[in-house]
Amino acid sequence: MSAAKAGNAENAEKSANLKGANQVLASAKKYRKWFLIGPFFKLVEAVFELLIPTLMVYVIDRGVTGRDGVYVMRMIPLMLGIAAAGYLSALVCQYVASLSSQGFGTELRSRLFSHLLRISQKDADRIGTSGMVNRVTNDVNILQQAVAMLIRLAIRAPFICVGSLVMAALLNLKLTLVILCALPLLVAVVVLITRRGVPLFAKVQKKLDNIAVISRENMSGARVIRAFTRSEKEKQRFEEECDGYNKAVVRVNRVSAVLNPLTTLIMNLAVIAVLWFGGKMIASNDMSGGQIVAFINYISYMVTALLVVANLVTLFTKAAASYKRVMEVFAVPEAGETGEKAESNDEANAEGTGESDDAGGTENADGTAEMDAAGGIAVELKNVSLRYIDDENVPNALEKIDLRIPRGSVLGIVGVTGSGKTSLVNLLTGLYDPTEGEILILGRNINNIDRAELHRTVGVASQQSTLFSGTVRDNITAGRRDIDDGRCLEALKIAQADGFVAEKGGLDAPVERGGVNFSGGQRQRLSVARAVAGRPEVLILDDSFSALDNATAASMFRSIRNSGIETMIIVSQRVGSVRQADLILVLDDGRPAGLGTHKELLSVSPVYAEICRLSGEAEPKEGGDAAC
Amino acid sequence: MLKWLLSYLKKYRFKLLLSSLFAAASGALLLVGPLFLGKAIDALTASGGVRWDELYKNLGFLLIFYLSGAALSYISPVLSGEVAARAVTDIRSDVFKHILRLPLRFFDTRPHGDVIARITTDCENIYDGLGQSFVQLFSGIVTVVGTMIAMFVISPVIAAAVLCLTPLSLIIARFVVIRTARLFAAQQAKMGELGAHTEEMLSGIRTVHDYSMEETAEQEFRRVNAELYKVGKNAQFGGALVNPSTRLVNNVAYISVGLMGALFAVNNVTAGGWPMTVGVIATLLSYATQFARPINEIAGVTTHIQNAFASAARLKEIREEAPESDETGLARLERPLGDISAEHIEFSYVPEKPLIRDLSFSARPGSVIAIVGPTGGGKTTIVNLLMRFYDPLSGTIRVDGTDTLTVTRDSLREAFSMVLQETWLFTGTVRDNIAYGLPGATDGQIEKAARAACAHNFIKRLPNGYDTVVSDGGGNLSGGQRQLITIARAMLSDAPVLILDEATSSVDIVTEQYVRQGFANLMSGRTSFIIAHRLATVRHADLILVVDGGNIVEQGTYAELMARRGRYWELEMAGAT
Repeated sequence: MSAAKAGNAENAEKSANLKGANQVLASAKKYRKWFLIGPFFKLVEAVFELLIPTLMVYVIDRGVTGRDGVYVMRMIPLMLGIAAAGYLSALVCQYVASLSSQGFGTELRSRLFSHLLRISQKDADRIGTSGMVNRVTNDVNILQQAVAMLIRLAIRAPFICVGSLVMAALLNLKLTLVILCALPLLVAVVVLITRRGVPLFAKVQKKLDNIAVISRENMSGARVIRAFTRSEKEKQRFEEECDGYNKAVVRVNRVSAVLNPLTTLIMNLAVIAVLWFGGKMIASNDMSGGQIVAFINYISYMVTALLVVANLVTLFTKAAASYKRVMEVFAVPEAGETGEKAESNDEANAEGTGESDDAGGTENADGTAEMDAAGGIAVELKNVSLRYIDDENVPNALEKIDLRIPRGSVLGIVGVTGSGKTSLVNLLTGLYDPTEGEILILGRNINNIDRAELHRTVGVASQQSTLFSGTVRDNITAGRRDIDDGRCLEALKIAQADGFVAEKGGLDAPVERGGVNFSGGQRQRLSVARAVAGRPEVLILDDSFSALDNATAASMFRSIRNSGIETMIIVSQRVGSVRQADLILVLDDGRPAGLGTHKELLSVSPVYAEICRLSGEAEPKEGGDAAC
Repeated sequence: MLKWLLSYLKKYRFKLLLSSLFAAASGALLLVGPLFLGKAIDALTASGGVRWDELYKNLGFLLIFYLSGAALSYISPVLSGEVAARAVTDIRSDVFKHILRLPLRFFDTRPHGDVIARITTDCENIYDGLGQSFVQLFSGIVTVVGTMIAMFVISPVIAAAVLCLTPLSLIIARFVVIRTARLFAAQQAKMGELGAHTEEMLSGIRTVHDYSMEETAEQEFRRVNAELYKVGKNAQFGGALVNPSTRLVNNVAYISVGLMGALFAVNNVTAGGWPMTVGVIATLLSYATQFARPINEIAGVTTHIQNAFASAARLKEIREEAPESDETGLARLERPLGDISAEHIEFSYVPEKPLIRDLSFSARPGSVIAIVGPTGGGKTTIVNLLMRFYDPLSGTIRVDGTDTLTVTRDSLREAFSMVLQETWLFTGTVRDNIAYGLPGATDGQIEKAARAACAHNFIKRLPNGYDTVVSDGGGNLSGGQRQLITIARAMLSDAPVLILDEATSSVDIVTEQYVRQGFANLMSGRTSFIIAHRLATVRHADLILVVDGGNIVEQGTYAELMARRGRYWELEMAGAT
């Protein structure tokens, strides 16, 4: 049905899927010999197991019917030996399965994580943090388990089925026809029920997810729900979902409960048929009683093996869904991935870490030389627009921004919530690519600058002030080995963070997850210190003063100016923070609404004047407004 | 625990009984089957040639047994599954309804993820335990006991041999499980560690990108991942030992039965049982495989049932949390004007730490009361008490002179409209979220409220405007945007009392100014409580309560408090530097 869709989209999807599949396969590559050895030993085990009923035929026919007690005694060590040998092969297989499935999972997990670290911010936003984390953890785990079960259990079924058939054929070719009729029937039943059941299972899962969502909302929104006296409504909503769930579960149960009785019935009917036809053959001396017993055994072997597979169906359906989700992510291109660059990137990843560091270093040196030639402009935006969503009805997040920031100057960016301030920052740090227009950093197009190099050139203290667990030192160096303790301390001092860091135990002071052991203002200063420590050419402070008092903010600004960092971009909603800037860009609804100094803007930009008036920061003589 | 579970099953006892009967019957048919199979084989291998009448008769019986067995073994789990699904749905709704009646303390102190897990996973465990396992256990026991008896009748010696061998597989399984439990726990712990690192790095992905920290993040990931591989591999291998080991025991049992039967037959030994024929051997072989299977199943089933009981305990625990006090017979608070007073309130969240001591204030209808003070001073606690999210230990809060403890909570809360610091939205469209404040609001009203809250501008730019679905937890909107929606939500309500608890904390200064005009309209004619840490926003209030350390340390108008040069004046001065 989906095949009817546009060929183009399908092709693109195909090639993307192919790429994903390649990644999954590559994860398994290292273990490919194990993927052969495991099933091989499973085969050996199956053969040993299948020998037992045949040997039992001889015991019955020669031993019992032929009254040969010595023969029976002789069979004891042989049969027990075969059971033991089967067990040993099984152990080998299980070990191999554990080794290779865990190895595959481990490798896939690492690849997936590395990949996710490198996809564009736009894609990361789309997938969402929990989506990404779930894929790395749950989905990979399910795939890993599916691989283990595939080697351990699923492969057994065809071996046992085919093996039983072969053994039965060796005993009596004609009677094998009974099995040949029963086998496709059995497979058909398993396949049919599975196919009906799988979408129903998916539905149950969906309903369960909804129940979880409602539960979560009722936990976190307890105050609001009660304040608006909506408990009754929530109860209804929950019960509706529960009812739906109930119905779905009952339906699944009705379908899946058919499996066991039906397959058993088919097996038993086959047994009756064997006895029926077998009787005729025995009467004509074409068959022995022992062979009948063996036949019955083989039939039950096949059914048991098929049932094991059927019971694994839920796992494999889940695995298929996980596989799709993982592939989806692998299909997303890595940021800045273009032709050769992407290839070499991949290689670097595969090789490990040491090398790419060196590469980054040399490139950096080259880059700086080239950049110096760019003249006095640090950052230039030419007619830049940005849209997050490809939808004509949604206005652009940024619309036609033109801007030149001379080296050594301070640019202020002001605007209300949603005016596009942070979007602009996201462009300069390469988190997003402009939809239109061109961005030049020190004269070079941002698209041609290696990400690592860009981040050394443009340092940002972001709004969220994200800190990672570890020590203060870990957070300030952010993994850069060229930043020593001296530089860390200097950066802390510049960011006015030296005081509280010393109190907490210096550079070795622990930082808890999310930096929760620091206050909002402290986190902000640490985040600024991290940006300063990298000694970037251009420093962006995205709302870094909001939790600081005016005095601290002012001294931080002064010490950054004196630190040798040339160009600064200060993003704020407070006019006070950007007033001293050489140049102020006013953003309104993603459009530029004024560019100039504070004084100029007051008279030229109504938006700026309004922001000043509302935050009570205009000078009376300039604004002439009664409110000031 | 069993009693608690049974109380939910009581309603469905007829179906459950029927299901059990069917299970027992299908178990019994499993016993008879091999017997007639053996007879049929004997008829085939009789020394005087095939005895056709005997064969047809037995095959006829087998056909009947097999068909009815299939029918019974289908109906039984369908019935029990239905009962289990219904019972679990009942438990789930019951627990959820109970949660809706629990005091706010429950929500403030319980980890939410844990409660959600109980409503989802634990209920699933009960379903698994009740639905399949219960019946399986029942029919399993019938089969095992019946098979054993049948085998003892046929051949006590062989039965004794099987009885000795088969429990071996159980013992092996237990042994392996115990041995590997530690490994599985270690694997779980490592997985948790890896998950935490993944979560931390991916949620901070912007910063990771901004600082090119990809490799650092990767190194740590690979390190933990390698450790996970080590324990995971061993844990998995340990777990994988169970199946082949039990299969080995089963095979040995099978071989023993066959060979012993053969020897008995050759030597004409009966050993207190039936004379051995090929058919009897076949019967015994069938029993031997039949006997082992439910034993293995029971081993699996018991863990399911154990899980179900553990889960039931976790649900019961919530079900038994004390709900908010009973409200039957309480009057409704009808259209209050908004005259609010608090008299000598004492309150604490934990008994050891008294928080609010002797708090009193009064607010005339239509007045603006500001509550200011340092973080943790008890400002939000006052809101909790006003709206009866928590009840004071002593003292009285009155609305229009009525003690709030004497009216229903819902009617009291209907008198309030509020914007809280936490910007909670539910999964649904933006429109629905705003209309939460006034069910049945028209599109016009919703848009008007959104405009007053300065939310209209950004809403119209969302992919689907007012119909944009706010994703789980509102993750697709910024904190400020979420807050503006909660403000719009409050704007729709026409309650006489308004509470603004840091209502604009996530909104920028300029937007805040616009929103404040909206608030000004909203506040006219209503009693308003404003909690703020930016003092500038509350200077015009009719009454300012300065809360610190749980007490109102000062109250008065801005002018009075400034003139007094007390705590408020200190706060003003600290803000000014």
